[in-house]
This record gives sequence, structure tokens and C-alpha cells, in this order.
Amino acid sequence: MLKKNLIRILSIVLLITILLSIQRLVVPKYMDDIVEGSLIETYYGEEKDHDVVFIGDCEVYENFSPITLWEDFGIKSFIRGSAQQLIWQSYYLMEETLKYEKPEVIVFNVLSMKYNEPQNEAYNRMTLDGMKLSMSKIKSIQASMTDDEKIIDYIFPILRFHSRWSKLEAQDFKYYFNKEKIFHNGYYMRVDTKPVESFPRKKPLADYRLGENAYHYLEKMTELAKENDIELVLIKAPTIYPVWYDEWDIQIENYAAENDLMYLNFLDLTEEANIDFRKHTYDGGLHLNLQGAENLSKYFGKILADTYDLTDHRSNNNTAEIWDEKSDFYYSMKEAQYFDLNKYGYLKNFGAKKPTNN
Amino acid sequence: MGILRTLAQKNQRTIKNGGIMLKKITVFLLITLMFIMLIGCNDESVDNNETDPQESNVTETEVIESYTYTYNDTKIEINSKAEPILDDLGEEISYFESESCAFPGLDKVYTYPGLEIQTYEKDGIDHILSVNILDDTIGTNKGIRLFDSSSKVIETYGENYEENTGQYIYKKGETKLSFLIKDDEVIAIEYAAIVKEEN
Repeated sequence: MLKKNLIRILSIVLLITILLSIQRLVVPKYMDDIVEGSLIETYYGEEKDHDVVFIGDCEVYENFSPITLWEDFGIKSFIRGSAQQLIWQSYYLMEETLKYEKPEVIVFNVLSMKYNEPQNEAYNRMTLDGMKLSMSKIKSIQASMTDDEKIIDYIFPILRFHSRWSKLEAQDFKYYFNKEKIFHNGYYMRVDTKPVESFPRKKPLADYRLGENAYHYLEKMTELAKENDIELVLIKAPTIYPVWYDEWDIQIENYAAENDLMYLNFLDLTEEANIDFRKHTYDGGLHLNLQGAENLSKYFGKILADTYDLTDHRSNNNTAEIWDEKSDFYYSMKEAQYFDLNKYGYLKNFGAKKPTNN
Repeated sequence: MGILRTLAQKNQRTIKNGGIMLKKITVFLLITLMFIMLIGCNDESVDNNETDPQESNVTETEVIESYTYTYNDTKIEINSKAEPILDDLGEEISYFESESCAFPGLDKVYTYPGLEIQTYEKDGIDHILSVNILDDTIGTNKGIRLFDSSSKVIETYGENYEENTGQYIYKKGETKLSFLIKDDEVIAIEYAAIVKEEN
């Protein structure tokens, strides 16, 4: 009887191991292309005692440099950003973050307030698949799914990606066990420059009111921050596209004032932050390049340090040692990117596309 | 002795129940595995690439109606390939392009006198996403121009429209013609593919 049961248990363990191994193989690795899909998972391997945590879409992970915040102000920060991160995803990431640590400040970029309903599975996955299984993840999945998606496909990604077996790429095997480090506390570095040459027209909208569902989650974020005695700071990153309407800005200004929150629209502060769209963007105004992100971080870091009296940790040897290592990696990548730029004219080894003339 | 016997019986029941449970789990896992293998043979739609909203509705034999706008004798069909249309239109007044977050491909905006055309990239080829009328020097194919009244729009295009906060939307297949009305005047006209907005 015991032998039979032992065989059954071993069979089940073997079957589960096989399924998990196949799952690991077939899920997208987001390493050689669309690297942004790897951002969310990088948080779990970190020391979780940050002063500041950024949450939001590409406007946080491409526009702020935690290394600059450390070097100039001794602020320990992390960016929990992902592509087209919707506000309910930001809320649940915030909820999950607070299970690991209680930062002094949480910074949220408000662009996602323009979305009031689930948008796109491919983007959903870049936020949700990187999260560890938890109630926060499950609730985030439920809030994010489009009509034809199923929760089971997120909990067991093998159900969604099993047919990739015939399309497996070299990166699926290369990064089967480990992924290389490519981000800097959630910051995605790009040193190249593509100046803004023209501005998009602001199309008139039928309705400028930000959606009720979006507000619901903003209110939940505000409450969660208050319950945990955390300062919630709202920002709008200085990017010219997608368009940020003045009508939206007024609504956020009002919300911040009513709830006693700081709101900074960096689109109105480009001069103070030393952002020049001829030099400080790598994609014509959608995201800042490294110089732009460093300039903005210097400006914002001073505001954060002064307003919230954040501790300067640079004199703490243990912490300094950890951040020195991060800085070394940061500068080595910066050097490697400039090498590519000088040799090839674009960031060939960092996923950039060769520039084409229109 | 009595206590020992009771314990032994209890243990046997537990082992028996455990055995049944293990059997159930094994059967469940085997069924799951078979299910995965089965649907793996049929499902071609799984990919981590950006979902194309049109893809699922188009087959080779099916003819789908769509809006086509005519500008200076050039027919601009929504969702059709952009290159021949742009060649036909000649040089634009201005051009703007933007990448999408993370995914490859550019959204491009071409401006001509009174007109703006936006494209999207599908399988490496640009397609027409939208045509916007920018001023009242030109109108729709049926003659509606900016600043016309809402009643004129309804007289011309009929009552088969959806209204969404001041926007009158006439759908045709996977395309739409929208009139944005403010203070009873048309303030924007757009022919477009029906898609959800992305940043």
C-alpha cells in the first residue's frame, strides 16, 4: 500500500515538474526584444528598504534614474514601472509593494488616468506575468482582463503560451534558468538621441472627463497611502506624446488639492528641470534619454529630499557598498551604449532599431 | 489495546482517503496535460505580439465593407495599405511619428491641406488608421464640413448612428465615420479603423 502511494506521489511530482519545466520554456522571456516585459520581476531580487518607489507606465521607467537620486541625494529608490501600466495594475503593485516594505514616498505617474477600462492583453502580460502569485496579482488580473481573456491563462501561463513550442527562439533556452541584469532599479537606460521635430495635433475629444473607474483606483491609492502613513506624489512626466490635455491636468490638480497631495506636471517645468527636447529624448519626445532622465532626477530628487526630509544614506557604509555596485553596472552600461552609438550609429546591442530615413 | 486498534483503523481510513485523493489529483493532472496537448494542436492565436484588432475578422474570401474617403481624386480606404495612397497624395505639409511603448512599429501622422492621415504598422507594412478633416475647406464624401449643424449630419447620413457624449458614430464593418458635435456644430470629423486606444 505504502509503495503504491509512494509511486503515485512520485508520479504526480514528476508530472508537475514536467509541466512547470515546459511552462518555463514556453513563456516569453522578454530579453532580446521587448525587454520591458522583464521589468516587473526585477523587484523581487532587491533589498526592499527603499525611501521612494515609483509606480506607473513607461513615463516612470524611462524618465527617472534611481542612480542619480542616490548619487546626488542619497535616496534609495526603485521603479515598479511597466509598459502601458494601467491604474488598477499600479494600485495592486502598490498593494503588493507594501507587503514587502513601507517607503516614505510613492510616486505615481498620472497618464494612465486616461484609460478607464482594460485595453490589451499583450500589455497586460508585461505587467502581470512578472508578478509573483499573490492575491494582489489575482485581483490585478481580474481588473485587467479584456473580454476574451481568462484568469486561468494568467495563473498557468502554459495554457496561453503552449503553442509557442513551435516558435521557440534561442533566447527561450538561453534565459531558461537565469536572465541577465539589464535595468537599473527599474530604470531602462537609453543614451541615444532623436530630437523632437514636430508636435502632434491635439485632437478634440468628445469627453474630457477622466473615467470613474480610473478615479476609483486613484482614490484607493490615496487611501492606501494614508493608511500606511506614506506620502503619495502625483506626477506627469515631461513627454509630449501621448498628448496630455489641459482639461485632464485641471482635474488632477483639483484631485491633488482636495486630497492634500503634491502634484507636479513636469511638462510645465521643463526649463527648471533642464529638459531640452532637441537633446534629451531618444524617440522624438515620447521618452527621455539618459541625460534627460538624469536632469529630471536631479530636479525631482531635490524636491523630494527637501519636502519629505528624506534621509541621506550615503554615509551608511553598508548601503553605500550596495549602491556603488549598482553605479558600476550603470556606468558600464552607459559606456557600452556609447560604444555602440559611436561604432554603429545606433544601440545595436541594446534592442534599438537601425534608424531609417523617412 | 482498544485505543491502539481505534488509532490503527483511523490510520487505515486516512491512508485510504489519501489514496483516493491522490488518484483524483493524478487523473486531474493527466486530463489537464491532455487538454493542453489537444488545444496546442489547434490554437494558432497565441503570441506575445501586439494584438491586431482587424486580424480576427478578415478571411481571404470574405468581403468587409469599410469607409473610403476621396481626397483630390485619391481614394483613401481605412485599413488599406498606406504606401500607394501616400505616393498618390504627394509630399505632405508636415510629418510626425511616434513609437508605441515597448512594441516595435511606428504610428505616423501625415498632414496635407485640410487633412491629416494617421497610419499603423501591421506585419511591417503601414496601413491607414484614420483620416481627419482639419478645416472647412474640405468636407466628407457627402459634403458635411466642420461647423455644419448636427441636423445636417443626420439629414445626410441618416439616423443609424451611435451617440457617445456628443459624438455621432456611423459604423461600417471595422471602420467608422465620427462627427464630434459641440453647441450643435460639427467640430471634428474622422474616418477611422475601430480600435482601442493605446499609448
